[in-house]
Amino acid sequence: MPTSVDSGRGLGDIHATIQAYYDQKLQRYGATPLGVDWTCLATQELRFVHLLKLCDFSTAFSLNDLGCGYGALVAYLTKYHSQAEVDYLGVDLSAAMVRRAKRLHQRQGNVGFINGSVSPRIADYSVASGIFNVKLHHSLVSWERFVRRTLVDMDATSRRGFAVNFMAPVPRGQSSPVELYRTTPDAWASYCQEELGCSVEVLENYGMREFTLLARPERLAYRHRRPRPLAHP
Amino acid sequence: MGGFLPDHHVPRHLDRINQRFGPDDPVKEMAALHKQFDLFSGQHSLKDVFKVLNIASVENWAHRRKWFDYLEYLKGCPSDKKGQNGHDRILTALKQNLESKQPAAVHFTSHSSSQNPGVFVKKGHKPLHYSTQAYLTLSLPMTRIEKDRQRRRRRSGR
Repeated sequence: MPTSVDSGRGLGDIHATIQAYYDQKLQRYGATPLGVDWTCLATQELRFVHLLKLCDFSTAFSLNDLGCGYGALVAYLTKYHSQAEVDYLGVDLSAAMVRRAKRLHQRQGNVGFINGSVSPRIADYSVASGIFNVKLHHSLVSWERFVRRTLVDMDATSRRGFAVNFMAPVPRGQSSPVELYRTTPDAWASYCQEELGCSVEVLENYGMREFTLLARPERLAYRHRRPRPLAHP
Repeated sequence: MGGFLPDHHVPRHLDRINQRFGPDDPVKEMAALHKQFDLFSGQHSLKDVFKVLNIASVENWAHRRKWFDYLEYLKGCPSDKKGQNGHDRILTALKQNLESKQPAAVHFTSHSSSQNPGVFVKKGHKPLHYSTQAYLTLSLPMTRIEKDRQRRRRRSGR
């Protein structure tokens, strides 16, 4: 169960192992869904469909994509929302991923990528797909600290809201690899509501054993005037 | 498999498909993907759909290509539905199943093309002797490469 206290310290080890894990994936599978640990393009894009339900495509907006990998979301936006004006910034812990993303999308306007754990800018929306799923050898306590820190950062860098997805628990009697982090919607929805002051919409039962949280700040007007300062780990 | 893939890789490919269309979560996911992206609507070839679903070898690119060649080859095969080729029969069977209220798990298997040269479909079939699970079974025609070579030799008079 998430707690409210979040120092943000001590995440260096988690960030380093995540970076190493995805560097290795990229090296093995290249800039493909497998390279960012998804089964295939179709499942990767179905997740984008749900995450982007946060965004209002009728007007131009800026978007931070945390854990952007090789920038698959850019290709998705081009394919399905070609009319939309999106100012996109991809952020990833893996420098190799960022290099690959820059190379792949170098000719696209309004698209940028940076290496890091938090977006340096405040955008209208932030999304993160699958970044909480693979906890590797880290303890549940450390991993949930990482999740909290990330949610706080996403909230602080999003004017109009943020969206994240999580893997849901498997049915009783089935096992799941210990390296994966599975959780229920209630815990993190409550965290976003109570600690971050967001209104939360939970999307589930969309054909995958996971759920998506769409979190929107409840006091939009206040957020527009005074963005919450970033607290770096 | 008619020379498309080495024999010992065929079960692996069938297993890959069966994992993605298996009972419970996998077939639910496939139904959701079809609903969202119209995968099996007939607008895309099986080759393209299986590429998007990544149902092919990722370790060996030559095998991956050959597998896709085999899917294309099914366009020239008959099926148990008159006037429909094997390729399209698979697409329509999957579409109907995934759009039904309770999509059944799908089991892909193979049979000898000398007995039946086409794709055939069985509904409510229990193809696994160790399981009570009912599947929509799709059987793909496959040929022994040696036999094919003999035929080729006979045809060319060698």
